[in-house]
Amino acid sequence: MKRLAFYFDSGACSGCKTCQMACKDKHDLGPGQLWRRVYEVTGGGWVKQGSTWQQDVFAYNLSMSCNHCEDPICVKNCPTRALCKRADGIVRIDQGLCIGCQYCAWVCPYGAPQFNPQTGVMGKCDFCADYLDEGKNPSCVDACPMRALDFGDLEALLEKYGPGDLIYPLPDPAITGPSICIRAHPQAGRADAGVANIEEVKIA
Amino acid sequence: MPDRDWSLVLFTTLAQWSAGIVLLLSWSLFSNTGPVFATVIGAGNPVLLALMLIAAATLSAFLHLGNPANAPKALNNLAGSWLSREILAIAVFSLSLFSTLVSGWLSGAGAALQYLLALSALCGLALLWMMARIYLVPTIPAWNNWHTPVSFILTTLNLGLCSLLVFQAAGMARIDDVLVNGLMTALMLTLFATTAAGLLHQLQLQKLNSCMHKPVFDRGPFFTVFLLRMALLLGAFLTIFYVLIHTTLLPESNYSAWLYALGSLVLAEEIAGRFLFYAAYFRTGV
Repeated sequence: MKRLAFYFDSGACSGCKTCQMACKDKHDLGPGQLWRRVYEVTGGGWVKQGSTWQQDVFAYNLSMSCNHCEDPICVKNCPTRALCKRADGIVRIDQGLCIGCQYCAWVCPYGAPQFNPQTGVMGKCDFCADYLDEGKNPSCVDACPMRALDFGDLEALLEKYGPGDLIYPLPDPAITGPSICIRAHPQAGRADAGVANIEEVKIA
Repeated sequence: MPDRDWSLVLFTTLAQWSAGIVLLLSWSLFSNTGPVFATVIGAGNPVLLALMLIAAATLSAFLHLGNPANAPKALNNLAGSWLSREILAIAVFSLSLFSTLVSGWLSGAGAALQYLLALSALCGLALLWMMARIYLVPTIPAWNNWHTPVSFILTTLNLGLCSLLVFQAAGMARIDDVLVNGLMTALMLTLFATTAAGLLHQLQLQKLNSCMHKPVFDRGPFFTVFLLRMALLLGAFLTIFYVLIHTTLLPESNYSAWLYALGSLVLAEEIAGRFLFYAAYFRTGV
């Protein structure tokens, strides 16, 4: 079975958020709807070296959408079967079946399913399935000016970019088996990292 | 806590209250000194009250849905979703309660009522289990632990025990003095367990962290409600002690008033506890 996945290069991302805007534009998303979000991770401070003080601040970005997990916790728990996984690995939502209970939003560790108060149902990244069917790329991938985003079959991505890294603030991948390959920013392993734009990426 | 979650506070509390009434009524009917209660359909029928509570719980659950028109489709995933199973359990529990009500109305308090009530109690226990399973998900650390099933069971017992005492005070059931004292002692034990579970969970919450979210449990509104709940529990304890010590000295009207006060304290404490449960939500990850 094919397993479509995203690739993200955290070292290459400039945090311009064009991917975020391209996604909103493509899916006509209102305020508070961010199917793709860019997390700004920062940390560091002043450290004493001998008799001087040096700064060791760092910053990197993480562009995140639905990871179309191998074992999607949203699909498993959806009471109406509105969420389902296609043969190509894309996790989609049938809004005609959704009751808007928001249980999928509760349980997803990537904040992928999002409630739309206007329609009363959930929405999420569908990998721009209509674009894929037309042979085009997902809008976020094509919009990225830094070429930090790519997509394809997970195995092919791993072969092309090497084994992915787990970076802050992502959860343990063993929980849902996310279909994503991330190249970490050199400072991504720092323990003092924190998300600087929590209010901006807060989902409605 | 989002405003929409208030409907879930109501839903779970009312449903567990209903299950508690049925469970305690059924248990006490099988004891030698079981209560005598009205079986005709009217305001004094405890089975009707339990049915009204589960109906109110179901209605409040609808308020949580963004698209209630699709509600019947919530049964689509019985094979995989505990939420679907919970909806089915509510339907079965309500149906068995309705059968109990009709049986009591047609044939009075007999063996049929006793066994139907026992069946309803089993359905109530199944509902309780399914409700708890919904919240045992690995991505929500505040819920994915022992506290979720324990707090649901304790809510059921606290509200069930209180209801029986209030039924006695309101004349809805005639309960033997020995059984009343037994109910009071049992309530004291379950309230003690509730206090201990609440304190332990609070300590556990304060140690939790996640990748991105940094929830605050040891100060602010969450901690204020926690303290309020502990004060209500203390008030309930003192009320029980007072009633137990002065049982023979209290005039009947005062005795009833103290039981109503006890019931109100326990209900307020349970609502505060359920508020804290939903307010503790944060998920691991982003």
